[in-house]
Amino acid sequence: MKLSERSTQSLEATEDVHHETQPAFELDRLIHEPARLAIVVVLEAAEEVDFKFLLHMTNLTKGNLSRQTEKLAEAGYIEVRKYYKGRVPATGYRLTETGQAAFAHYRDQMMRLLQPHPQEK
Amino acid sequence: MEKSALPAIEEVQRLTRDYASYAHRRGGLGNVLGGLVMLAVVLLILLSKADLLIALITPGLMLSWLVGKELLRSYLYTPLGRATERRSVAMQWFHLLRVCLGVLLLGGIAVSVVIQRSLAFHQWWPLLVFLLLTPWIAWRYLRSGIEYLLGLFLLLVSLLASIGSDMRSYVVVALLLAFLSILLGLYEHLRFRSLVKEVLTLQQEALLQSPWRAFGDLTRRVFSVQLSWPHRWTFQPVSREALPGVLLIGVGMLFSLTDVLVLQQTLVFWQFPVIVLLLSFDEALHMSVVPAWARQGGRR
Repeated sequence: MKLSERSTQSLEATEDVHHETQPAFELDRLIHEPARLAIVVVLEAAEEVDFKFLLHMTNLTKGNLSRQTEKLAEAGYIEVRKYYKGRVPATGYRLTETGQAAFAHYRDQMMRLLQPHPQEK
Repeated sequence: MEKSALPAIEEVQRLTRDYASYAHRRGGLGNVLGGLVMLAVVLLILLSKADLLIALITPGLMLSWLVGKELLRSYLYTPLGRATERRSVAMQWFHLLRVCLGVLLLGGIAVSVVIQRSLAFHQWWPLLVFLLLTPWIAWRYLRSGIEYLLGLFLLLVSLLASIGSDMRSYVVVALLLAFLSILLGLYEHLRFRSLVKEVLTLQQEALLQSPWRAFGDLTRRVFSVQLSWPHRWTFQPVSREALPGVLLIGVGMLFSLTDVLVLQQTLVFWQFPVIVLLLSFDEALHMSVVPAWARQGGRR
């Protein structure tokens, strides 16, 4: 095999890999982060959940959960509601429409990425 | 790493949805309480000869059921915190339709009774009170099919007792409703207990104990070709979830047939089976269609 042919094949292979991996770099980093993904996954399945429920379902520490929800709220993905349960202050979280759209987009991207390679079908 | 994080995501969402349904729709022991209230009303109808007593006690029993079930919902069904169920627009419209249907049904019965008996205003004004309260009670408190049926029936008994109608012919329907409610309530309660156990068990497992690891697995497997997420996400069978709804439809149909063919009841009685069927359909919708809708991203 000539050197030029080999380099052409190598270049094509690189392009293929680049083509396949590119969507991975386009993933929404804000959602892709594991702790935040866990939060969004739970919020997507309910209208509103409180801090305690999120703690149970994600099993994050209180501090980490607060920090991650703050980041999601800053991005407009979730809405935070402070209220009183009797005399005890409580916090409710819900996914905004922006958050829902972002998660749906993220999921579509992931599903595309997870599709079997044509050669392996 | 045989255990993928992706089924875990699906599992977490299923558990969240199931748990959240107890905050709004499923009654659990609240339904059992409703059934017991209904049995108490039956006893009252059988033992008491004074309609005024029935007219006074039934609304009181109904109020205690409404308050009791909300208290049970708040304190018994939130051991892991509070979660509110996401309801599709279609479900909200269905609930509105159900409320309107209830008002029309009770209104129709009230008008027919007033016309048949040619009652004066001072005799039928209590009907107005119950009729005016019906939309609010039905919208705010009677969220599931069985709750709606119980509530509507209790309102009907109060309404007719307030104008001195004989209640004994309602005993069979009331008994059926009571047992249906108790059975459904017990089933829901046991289901909730196993749900909480499932969540706690999942917490013990690595997938939930270390979200970093679990979701890190997800990231690492992005390029894997063997993951079954799309398949699982889209085509997870819902037959098991739909089973109670289907059973309820069966009971509804049995109820209708018994009512129409055996008892051969008139206006009031054949309208209830229609509602039972409608409400069974509602339960089936919630149990089978909503999870599928939520799996598709819950897009409205």
